[in-house]
Amino acid sequence: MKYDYDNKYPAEFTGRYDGSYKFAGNVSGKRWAFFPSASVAWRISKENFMSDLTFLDDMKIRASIGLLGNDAVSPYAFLSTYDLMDSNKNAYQTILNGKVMQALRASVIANPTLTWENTLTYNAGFDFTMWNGLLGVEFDAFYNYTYDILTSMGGDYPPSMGGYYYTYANYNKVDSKGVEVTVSHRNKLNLAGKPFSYGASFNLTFARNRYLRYPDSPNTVEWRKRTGRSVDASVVWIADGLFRSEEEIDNSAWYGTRPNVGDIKYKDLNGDGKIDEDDRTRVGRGNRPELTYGLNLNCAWNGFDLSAQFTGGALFDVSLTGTYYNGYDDNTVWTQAFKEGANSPLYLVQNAYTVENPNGTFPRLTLGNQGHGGDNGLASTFRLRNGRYLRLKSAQLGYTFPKKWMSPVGIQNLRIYVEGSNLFTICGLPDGIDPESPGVNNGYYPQQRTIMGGITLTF
Amino acid sequence: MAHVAIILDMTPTDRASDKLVWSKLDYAEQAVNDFYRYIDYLGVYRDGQCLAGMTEALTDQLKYGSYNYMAKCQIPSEIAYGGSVLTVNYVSTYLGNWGTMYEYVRRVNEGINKLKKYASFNQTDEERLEAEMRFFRGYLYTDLLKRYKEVIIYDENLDNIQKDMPVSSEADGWNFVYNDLKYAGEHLPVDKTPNGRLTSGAAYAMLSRAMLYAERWDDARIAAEKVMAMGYELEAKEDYSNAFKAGSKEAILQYCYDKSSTVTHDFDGYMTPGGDKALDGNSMTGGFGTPTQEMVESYEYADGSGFPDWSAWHTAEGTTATPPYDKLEPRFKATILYNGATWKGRTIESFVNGTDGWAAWKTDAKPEGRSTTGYYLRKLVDEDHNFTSIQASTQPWTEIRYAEVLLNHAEACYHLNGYTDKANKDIKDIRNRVGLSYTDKSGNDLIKAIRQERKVELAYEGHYYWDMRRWKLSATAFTGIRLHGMKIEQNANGSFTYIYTQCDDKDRNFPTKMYRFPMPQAELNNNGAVTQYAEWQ
Repeated sequence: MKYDYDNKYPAEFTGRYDGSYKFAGNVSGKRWAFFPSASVAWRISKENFMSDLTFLDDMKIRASIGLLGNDAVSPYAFLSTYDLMDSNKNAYQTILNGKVMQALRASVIANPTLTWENTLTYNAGFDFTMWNGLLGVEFDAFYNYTYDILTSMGGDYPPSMGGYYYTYANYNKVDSKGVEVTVSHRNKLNLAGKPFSYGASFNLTFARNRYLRYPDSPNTVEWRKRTGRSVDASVVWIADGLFRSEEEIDNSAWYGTRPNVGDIKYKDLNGDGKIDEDDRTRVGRGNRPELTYGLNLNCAWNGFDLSAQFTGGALFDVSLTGTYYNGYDDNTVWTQAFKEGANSPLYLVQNAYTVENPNGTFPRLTLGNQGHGGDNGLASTFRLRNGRYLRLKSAQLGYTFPKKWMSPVGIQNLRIYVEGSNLFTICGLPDGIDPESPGVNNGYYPQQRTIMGGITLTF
Repeated sequence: MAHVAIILDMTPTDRASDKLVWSKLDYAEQAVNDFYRYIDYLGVYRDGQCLAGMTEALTDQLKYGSYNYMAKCQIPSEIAYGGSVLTVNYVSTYLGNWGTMYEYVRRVNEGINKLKKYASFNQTDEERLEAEMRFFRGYLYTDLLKRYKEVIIYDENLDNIQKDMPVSSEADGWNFVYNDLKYAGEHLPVDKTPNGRLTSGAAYAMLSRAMLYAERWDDARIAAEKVMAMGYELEAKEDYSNAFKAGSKEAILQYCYDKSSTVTHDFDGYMTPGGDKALDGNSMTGGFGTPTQEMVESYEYADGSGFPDWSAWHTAEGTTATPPYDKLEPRFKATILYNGATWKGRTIESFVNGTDGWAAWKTDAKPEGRSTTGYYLRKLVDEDHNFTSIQASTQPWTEIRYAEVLLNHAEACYHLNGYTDKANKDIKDIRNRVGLSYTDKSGNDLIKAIRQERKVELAYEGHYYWDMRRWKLSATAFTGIRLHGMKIEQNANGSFTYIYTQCDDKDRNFPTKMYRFPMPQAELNNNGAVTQYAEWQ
């Protein structure tokens, strides 16, 4: 449904009614759901009282609200069913009276109340352009609230329940809020008698999320809980540098067996004299930047054109390697010098603790497994670095030959150009570590710098 | 919209709805079939009793010989050495069965719940299936209670299952078991077949065992007498070795395996004498756990002249005198293989560098396939198993046999006034079967005789560790001791020198807190209505 009064008050309403076979049809209100959305705007610049402000090209205030549904869950999680245990499933049959008997076993604990996951989105903002494009601004503020998230349950139930809890439930709640701003500038002027046009546009997005509800066990130590914390927060041990002396080891907690000088020291958060699962904690920042920004520049003059795109991010952490869900940072050449006979990044070797280099900042060098039974490979803050960066993602310089030169030789258009991508990065990470590497990876190969030239020829 | 609704009502094609399963007798029986595997899981061929290996290895009966830090190797000895290693998490890992038992209890409860909700076949079959499931529930709770004493009780009312649930008293726990097994005894058919569907005899036999743990002596006696009235009998003397094999007359509940299916085990691979590797290619080397000298000395002379004097062999210098293996009672030969015994048509050579070999505990770098005690286990190992044709083992696991019921009865009667004669008769029957005489006893002598007979008769059948524990004798019997074996060297003239050798490098220690196992941390973390048992706080 659309409505637009006098070109000043555009309004829109849409609604959809969705059904999913993944939810029970015999429990009312679970399978079918209504998802409406609405938006309104006020084009202020069209108002008569604004007509005096001639510098204003366009100005609009807008707001929208919407509900979205998601049914991403395994089918039949709402049905109690039995599976046949046969030899193909490598499960038990039973032998009775000398005969192999079939057996049936209950599969998932069905949740007949399973229903749609919902996201409620709120958005408000304004746009304006002034002075024929000399200044353009778009501003948006948003708040997304996702609830009844289809959550795979488990882990935080006592074993005495025998697994009798829903395999899936509409449980988690997450919200995310933030702002997006784009400021642009466009202009044309004369330079040495020729027209010079240029534009610049800067955008910035800030978004922060958190779990409002997560099945944390009441007895989970406070620092491991997820409720109230960022969805992206990683669970790691807090590293406290390296052990520098036997005496320091004597007076510290450690993980597993006694470490050696030059191994990583971890913080004993609960003070029980040993390092274990309970000393892991959620640190605030994940691998995804909360703040991203970009700058696009372009200009053209007398056949020359130049464009450049900068991107950057901040408020996130990069692990010097990928972190595995099992809690280890191991298995990559980025954390373990000479892993599997491979070459090592220089920083690991140069800065390693050795007898000659007692102030080294990286663990002592070992052959084979990670030092100290692999514990130097535990996912810890030891390898987390502030990932903030600015990168010239791409740039291009071109020249288009004047038509009056080309037409006589039968060429419609001739342009030569040179372009590059990933041209430079400003960040605090060691060589070889890409701030844009994903959180879980197997030793991310950094993005390459490429430079190429080309000719575009049209007859 | 009606049309669309029909399209969305898809039925899964690879599984059956619970209503369909429990409304038809054939399918309902198949759903109950799945619970029979619990008998296998809790038997000695599997890990259900103890993840580290046979529970006998936590006593003075069996020694796992490899020093590798693994189950069925060093870990059973580590548990028996005790000390600071016995933490909540460690004991829960190797001896706790909490999570698995509660999963099984829940599955059985779901079965009973849905049977009652959907069954539409005749009442007799409905009661029989309920009785089978209540047998399993009573059996599972017996295992929980013997470990933990106070546990959380859940019946088939699934709505009661919740996170914060307190434990019940030990008495309430055993009452729950009593009611389940009694119902099973009353509603299952009387049939002496041990390896078909569950029988009334199996239920009462299990009840007699459970009531010993509960120390409800009269209930144990009555349950045992129900079984005794059903016409079971002991295998004849020359066939004691058949008592725990396929086709045993005295088997009351047996779980069977079949080499054509996935239902097999690997007990022979672990336990068969090391020489079988060379003989028929056991890929698992065998000889992981071997009987100790202490157990060998638990057997009497066959002629009724009592226990041999072993002091002549308790010498580290060694003696060339042959131990009196040939003169020991039949149960020794049926249970333990010794140097010179016959096995698979050959002679056991458990001497240093013999076919079956000997290895020193801890110092031998690669002891696999050799014995650290000079003996090998014969009982429950299949002599007819030819590894050339199949590596997997298929001899049945005998969960309960009649001899145990007699011993349960004897122990119950000992504790009751006026039943001494009955207790004596049971012990006499057990001993006479293997040709041993018996004179009636009373008081302390009688209970000692009952315990001795249980130890020997049921050796390596998964009872001894738990019996000693419920008698509260473990802390004295298994503390401050080291186990021994015979290191046997062959001399140039073919004779042997028997050297009494320690196969422990530390004293064993059974702390009294091990009379109850700790509640696992995962339960404490997630159930707000429980606290750790006092022994473990």
